[in-house]
Amino acid sequence: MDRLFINRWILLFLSILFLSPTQVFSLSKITGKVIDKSDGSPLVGASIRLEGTGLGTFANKEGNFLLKGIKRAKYTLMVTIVGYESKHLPVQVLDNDSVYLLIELKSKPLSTGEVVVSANKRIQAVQDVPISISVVSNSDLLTKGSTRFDEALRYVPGIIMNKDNINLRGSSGFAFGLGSRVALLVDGFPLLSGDQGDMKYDAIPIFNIEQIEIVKGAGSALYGTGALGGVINIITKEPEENFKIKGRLHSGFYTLPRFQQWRYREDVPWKFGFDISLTSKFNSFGYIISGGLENDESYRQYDKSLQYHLFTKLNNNFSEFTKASILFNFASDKSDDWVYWNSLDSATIPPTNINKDARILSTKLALAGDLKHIFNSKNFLTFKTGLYRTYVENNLNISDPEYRQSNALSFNTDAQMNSSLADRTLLTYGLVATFNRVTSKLYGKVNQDIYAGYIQGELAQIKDLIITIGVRTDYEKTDSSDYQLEFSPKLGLNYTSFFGPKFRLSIGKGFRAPTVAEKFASLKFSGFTVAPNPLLKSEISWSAEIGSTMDFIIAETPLQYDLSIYHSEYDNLIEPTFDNTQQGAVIKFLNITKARITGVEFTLKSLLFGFIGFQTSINAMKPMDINLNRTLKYRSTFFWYNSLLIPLGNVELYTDYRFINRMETVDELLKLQVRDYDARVPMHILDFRLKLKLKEMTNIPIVLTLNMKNAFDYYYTEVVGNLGPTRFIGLQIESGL
Amino acid sequence: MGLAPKEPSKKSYISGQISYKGGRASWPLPDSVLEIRLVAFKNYPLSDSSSILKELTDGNAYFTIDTLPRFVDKADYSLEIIDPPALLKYIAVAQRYGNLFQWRVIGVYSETGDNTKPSTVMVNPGDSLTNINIEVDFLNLPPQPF
Repeated sequence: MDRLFINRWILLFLSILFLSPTQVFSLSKITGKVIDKSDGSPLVGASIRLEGTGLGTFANKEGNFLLKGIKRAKYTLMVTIVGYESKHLPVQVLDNDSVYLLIELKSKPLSTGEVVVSANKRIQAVQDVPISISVVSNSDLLTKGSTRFDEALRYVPGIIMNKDNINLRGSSGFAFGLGSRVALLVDGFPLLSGDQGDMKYDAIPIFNIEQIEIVKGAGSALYGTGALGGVINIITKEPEENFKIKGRLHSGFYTLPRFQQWRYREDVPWKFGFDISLTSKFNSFGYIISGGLENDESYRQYDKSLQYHLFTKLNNNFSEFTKASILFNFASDKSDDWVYWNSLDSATIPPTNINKDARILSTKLALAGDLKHIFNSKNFLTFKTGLYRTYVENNLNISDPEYRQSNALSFNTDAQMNSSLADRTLLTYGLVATFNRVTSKLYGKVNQDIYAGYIQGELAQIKDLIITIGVRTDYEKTDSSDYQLEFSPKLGLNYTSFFGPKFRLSIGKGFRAPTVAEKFASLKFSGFTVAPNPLLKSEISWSAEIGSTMDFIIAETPLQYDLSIYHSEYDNLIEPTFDNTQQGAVIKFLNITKARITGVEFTLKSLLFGFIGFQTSINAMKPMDINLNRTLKYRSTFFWYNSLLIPLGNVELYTDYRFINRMETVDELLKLQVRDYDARVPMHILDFRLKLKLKEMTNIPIVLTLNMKNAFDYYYTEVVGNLGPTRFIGLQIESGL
Repeated sequence: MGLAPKEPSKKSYISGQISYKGGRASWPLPDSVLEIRLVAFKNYPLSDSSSILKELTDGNAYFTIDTLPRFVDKADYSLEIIDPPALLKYIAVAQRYGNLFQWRVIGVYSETGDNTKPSTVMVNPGDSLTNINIEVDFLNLPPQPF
């Protein structure tokens, strides 16, 4: 069955690839040069795109660019580059025309020149998006020395990592990682597992990420199930023109805890790993091949892990108008089965009665194809298809009550068209099919099918105003359960005011169909029994947000603020709940509650004294369980993140501090299973990094980074019964040729 | 600096032995003995059977986190009293026979040996009180504490 599916998918992909109609164009072109307004110097690498057409290019080392094959029409040219204001220029192109543009951009130190694809499934400047969006760039990842996906997100405004759950503006509590309320995509391809609907952090190709886009608020109008609280889209790097090899070696250790009771070993536990990546292009063909491993002895006993990963991306430009890429990603993880501590007094060891011989082996394989075909300068197709297989098994005997095994295949296909109907009127529409095939000791043999269609219009005829309207319909059916039909509309406004600030407003619906695991789980682990609930319904959310952003200068200091006030209403929230109707201490996933989350998020960026980078963000919210009239479980209500960069010649000093207030409530019945379940405190985490660029001093292309995470060795819990990572001191060496 | 383990000198415990009259042959059928825990209540008597779990979750009772050995002649236990001083008015052995809310008391600490008259124990910081022994007689269960 699985092989048949795979064959059909490959056949469909290749058919579209080779049967795409040949483009018929008039041969108009736009050429030009992008320069700095103040001194006329060329802006190398500036991005130039014709909005809504799929046509785009970059300025060369002289600042020149060329766009070919453009049909007679009016267009908007979008020009962006880091450190400069973005520009939208109206362009009129006639038949067999050649338009030349000299584009001058004004320096704007805090501008990241970001373009994003996730907010509206098309490339656009981040400031034109009607919803809150944060971008973690490749340079941010390098700066922070992130070797794991969850580390990369820890300072994103509005995000709290609850172990395996990403809590975006309060959307998620703690659910053993199951049923993510944030959709995860890699290059637009869904990467939530077919059985548990969870994120496998080690399956993210962290060494090959160009940027991470985090869209906040319900996003089901484009992304369907899972986008209840937001969407995270990981954009991987593109192959480089010339052969390049780069590598990263990192190693470090957790310092021994201050308290003798917590020292479970005499020597320090180590973590080390490496990544290596090759990339090049031959004519129209480009590739990236990358691999690596990470071995973590952990600051806790029985929490070791060894991970391998392999990533390959192949691109081929069949013509200027037809491009295809294939992405292959494999990750394997062998780890101990840590769940919670023995007690606060022995916080680094697991309960004494668990089987410490149990090991978990998991593998993840993603294979995805992406075809982009520009029919003409008004219409282009993006076709994505692929599969994501996750396999998990522990090494216990099959007759052991705690034996676990699950094999899930998720097939996804998204055929999307973008059409430019008239001047500044863009239409995005498509069809989606998702098939989850699960064969599991835990969940049985289960099939889940989802079919969806979506359409969205963006209207920008009114000066400085962009209106976005869209709707998506999803049909979901899981084996013998009743089918579910969901309509997810959205409305967005983006307005650039004459007095400076940009304003945005969005309203949208999100939903999440229960995962196979939540419906059919039947397992035992670490004293918990999880029972199935096939009657689970989808959980839904309505999110609204108003926001504003502006760049301004006070006393010659450039500043940028971003302010959002958001409100979400959740219904039928699915939560793991102790079920008192069954024999034993049984957890079931139940549609238990209505919730309301209202909050405010404020971010301020600056360049102090012209060279010290500074960012602070505050998020304050009120996450209420309406049924119980109390704060939602596992939610903090206030978090404050800060980052400071001090460049001192070839040395850069970074410091990050995050404060998260104490979770008000957790499930009190955990008290029966987890000692000191209530041990939790506010978090104060300080990280330091010292980066040394040897290339500037010795001409050797090496960057050394000394990092200290949780420098004050502050002890806290992120989730019940889990001591957070203790102080870690590490060294990272990066080089590229 | 955040969380910290307790200093051993400030910890308080009660400990003792639970003996089962008639030995292992006296135990009921296994499917009705899902867990055995030692529980020490600050309040006594309780209002009804459902208040047992409420006392536990409200922090008015202490209990062993795992089940004690079942189907044995006797079993030792040790229970930390996490926030002394505490006046323990009712120390009992509890059997879970069904779901999370279905418990019954099967033995009571009584200095006189009369299981209808539970004894009170005062635990101060640093105390380690031993010989809090309890006899369980499945054929003559004590009255329930509500």
